Amino acid sequence: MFLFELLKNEIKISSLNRGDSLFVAIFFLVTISLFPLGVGPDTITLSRIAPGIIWIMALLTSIVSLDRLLSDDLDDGTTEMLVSSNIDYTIIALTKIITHWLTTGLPVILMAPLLGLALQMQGSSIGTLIISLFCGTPTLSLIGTFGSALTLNAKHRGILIPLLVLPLNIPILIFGSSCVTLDNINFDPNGSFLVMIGILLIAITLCPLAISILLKMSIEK
Amino acid sequence: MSIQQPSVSKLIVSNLSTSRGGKMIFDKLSFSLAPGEILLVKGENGSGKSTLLSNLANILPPTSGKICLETRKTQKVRYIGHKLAIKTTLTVRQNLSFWCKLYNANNKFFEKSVKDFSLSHFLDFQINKLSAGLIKRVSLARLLIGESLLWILDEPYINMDKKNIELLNKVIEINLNKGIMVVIASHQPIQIDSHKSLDLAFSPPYLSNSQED
Repeated sequence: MFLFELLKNEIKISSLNRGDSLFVAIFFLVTISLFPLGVGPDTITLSRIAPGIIWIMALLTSIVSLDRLLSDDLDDGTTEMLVSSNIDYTIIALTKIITHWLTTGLPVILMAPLLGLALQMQGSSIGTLIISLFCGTPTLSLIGTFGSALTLNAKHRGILIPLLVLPLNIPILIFGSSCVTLDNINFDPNGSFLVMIGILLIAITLCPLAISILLKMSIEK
Repeated sequence: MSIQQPSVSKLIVSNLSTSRGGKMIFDKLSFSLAPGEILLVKGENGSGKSTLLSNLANILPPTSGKICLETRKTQKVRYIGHKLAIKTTLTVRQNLSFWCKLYNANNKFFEKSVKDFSLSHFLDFQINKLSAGLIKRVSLARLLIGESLLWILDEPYINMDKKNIELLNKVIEINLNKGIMVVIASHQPIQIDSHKSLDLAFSPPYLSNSQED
């Protein structure tokens, strides 16, 4: 399966060179640990805003590496090489999406329990937070990669990508943090989970297709 | 020598036209290439050599016309363009083994490729520590990985010294004898015997106004 081999190579490249996941992890850790210093160590306030903080930071970390996600391969000819070797654009798109999730979504999920504790969250809320991150971060990667593909030939991509991607991710932020907030006041968060899974399913059907079309367009331009 | 040919796979190009950005690059181009033949595509800068090669490599669809290659569905086309498709932060070995996996090739191909392009001393060097000519050689090593049928080389002699050019020509000649088809775009003559050539220079788009008959 080419997808698997491509993925292995992608992971090797990003772990060896750019240190993407390490950077994401450090960015996430450092910024979140600034909040208790800025807001003050008040337990009640912190635990109330904690889900929101963690979700906002998850959103921001997801756009950090987007500007180079697709353009690196396009610039050095790797995409052309893969296409001429009869590999489908959809496979290339899926590889990039999964790589993005593995290097940004997964580290965020892994560090969330620790940071939840640091922000005085309850044990059960942390569980809900993790589930919500599991439902939401793949969507962030799908939409993020889509934004990255959409701006491939644009100037000032560094500014365009957040302008494009952040608004599209707002529903995920709202439902993601509301899961935890609802759980805190003993309401059933299942509705929010279902909405997030629904958005994820829509994104899974549309984004890889759109990204592959955009990639094809920028190769053939 | 036994040449294994399950089916005769010629490259047949008929009435190929491609325009980019509204300009016709070349019009109604037809040629064919049989196993063991090499085609040199000549022409000035901007005459459409690279465009033709991207058409052949299935990267850029032609505006009209047909490219027939029976093995298109398999991974037997090796395209090496101006962009070398090498990951500069990986080592030579890592790049080569990625290609091996991509083309489903075993270790035998890896060793053959390293030997033929004499890369054995550089296997564990990071690509960005190598010289331009050597990087080019690494990118050409992809030709020998896995079974292939058609090589498409866009300006392969750039950045290469005389010794490297001879090395590449030797590899090409050996593989032509094995039944591989080669298309080369280059504006310098090639030292390979009995090559077909295709000159795109007769009607570059920017001259079409003044040379209309």
